[in-house]
Amino acid sequence: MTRKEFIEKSLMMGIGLPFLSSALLHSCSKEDSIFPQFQTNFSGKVIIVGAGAAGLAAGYLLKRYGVDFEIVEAAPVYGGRLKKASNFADFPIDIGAEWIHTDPKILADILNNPNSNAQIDILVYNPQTIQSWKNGRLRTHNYISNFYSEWKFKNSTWFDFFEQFIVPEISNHIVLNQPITEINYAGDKVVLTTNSNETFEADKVLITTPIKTLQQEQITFSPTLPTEKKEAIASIFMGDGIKIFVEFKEKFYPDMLAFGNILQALSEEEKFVYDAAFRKNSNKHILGLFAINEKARAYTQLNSEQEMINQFIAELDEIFDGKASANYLSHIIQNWSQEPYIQGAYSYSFEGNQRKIVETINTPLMDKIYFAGEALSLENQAMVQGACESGYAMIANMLKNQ
Amino acid sequence: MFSVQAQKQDIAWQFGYTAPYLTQSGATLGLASDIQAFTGNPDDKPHIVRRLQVLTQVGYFAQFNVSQNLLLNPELVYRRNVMNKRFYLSSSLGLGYLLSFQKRAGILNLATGETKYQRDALQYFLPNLNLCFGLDPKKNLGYYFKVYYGRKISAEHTQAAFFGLATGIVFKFPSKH
Repeated sequence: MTRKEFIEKSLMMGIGLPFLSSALLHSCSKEDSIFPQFQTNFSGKVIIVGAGAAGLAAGYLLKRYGVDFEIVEAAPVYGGRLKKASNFADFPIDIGAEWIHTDPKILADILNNPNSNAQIDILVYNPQTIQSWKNGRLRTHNYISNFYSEWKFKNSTWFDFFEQFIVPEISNHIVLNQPITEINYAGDKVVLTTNSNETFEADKVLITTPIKTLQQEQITFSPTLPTEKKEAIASIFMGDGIKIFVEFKEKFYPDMLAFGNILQALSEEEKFVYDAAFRKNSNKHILGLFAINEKARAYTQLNSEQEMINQFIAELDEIFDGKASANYLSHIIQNWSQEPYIQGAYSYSFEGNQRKIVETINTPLMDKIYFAGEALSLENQAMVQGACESGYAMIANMLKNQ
Repeated sequence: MFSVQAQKQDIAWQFGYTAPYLTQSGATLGLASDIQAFTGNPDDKPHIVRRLQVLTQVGYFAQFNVSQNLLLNPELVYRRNVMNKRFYLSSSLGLGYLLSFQKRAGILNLATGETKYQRDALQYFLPNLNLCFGLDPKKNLGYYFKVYYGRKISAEHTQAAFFGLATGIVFKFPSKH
């Protein structure tokens, strides 16, 4: 069960029957290993399109099994929706994926390296002061801290985790600045062509680009994708996404601020303002805005970053009686909707049966073209571990019995 | 007006399951002892039995992933039932003390996946109100269902509402005099 499903089910139960909801929450963290074990005699070459979490994890697994591979990334940097700002505050800020939504042991599971002597500082993200802004009123809901907790990196980021433990194993297999525009899988080999007409050739290809880029057909396929696969891809909703971080002179805001009905806001997870320095080693007052879908659109549709920050500060001023503009020092904005090879936040909802849609997309094409990514994880959709899980699972599917 | 009649003054042990915030779970052990038991005026409602009790509870409950909590909660209970009936209602005012051991940060071992957590001990004063429905199917055995609401108060930490449900079993030991 995903965290989102748990919250929704808890809400349906009126925050739950005590035994059941505790058991459900526990089940959210009881993960079987996502790191696959299999046998393979595959001796060909694999190309992974996209160097986000799914692509990097897939490469890490291929390296472990000694398979020849390349990761071809369109952007000038790897990481995809894993990204950090190192110099904005006195701690690194995740300006992409930020929370660890399940037991942190998932990090060890992703690495699957019993000989590692590395340790990571984590914090229990259990905001203590929680408010909501609804109908012009600021309400306090501190009791919510007794329902909700997750984890975060304390002195590092999701990006750091990949950079320190995954990328060093595979860095010489990553090719940047090579947007794939065409994939021809009609012949024995799959031929991938970039926007500058460079070509790559492989026996099998794993496509890990965000679902939005597939919907926009940034890559054309030859032969074209089967209709049912196209329809399945089109039925996944991935909306806009934006994160804004503002440094203030003082902390005048709660650990978490939701908009609208607090329980609905927790269920929908579309817009939060939060203390980004919560339990970090920091002397700064850094407030974060996380918004997706229509809530993000309110900012991303504006013409400039200046308009976005002006709107955000004006909103905060209304809520906190002008304290935002009085205490403002600086800001950074990460507009995920404008990232050319990402185009939004993450998969949010499915028009139809999620399992059927995912299975349709996950079915390989002619045993040569495979898809992976956070949207294609049934258990951990929209999360980093979901992207890794999907990448691992599809590589295992690709190579076992070969 | 009440006229105090000679009622037996009992003590009772309570073993309960408690669900603070409905999502957490734990157990309580309580000792209830009558400090006064009386019936109404013969002219008024002679069949109503009222008791004042002191209920001292100790409890443990946990919030998954976040905290383990110890509770000491003395309550002054006002209980009312119809003589010879098995049901009763009670309300009580508790003045609790909550010791909460909260996980705030930890170190994850990437080889084993184990996390060593640092726990902070937080103390709260916990005044609370309780409404209870009880059932006494046998002379020495009963059950109760309780709703409670209170407030976690601390000079150092964030205040918050405290509420939940509890249910349990009661073993009664009538006084011999």
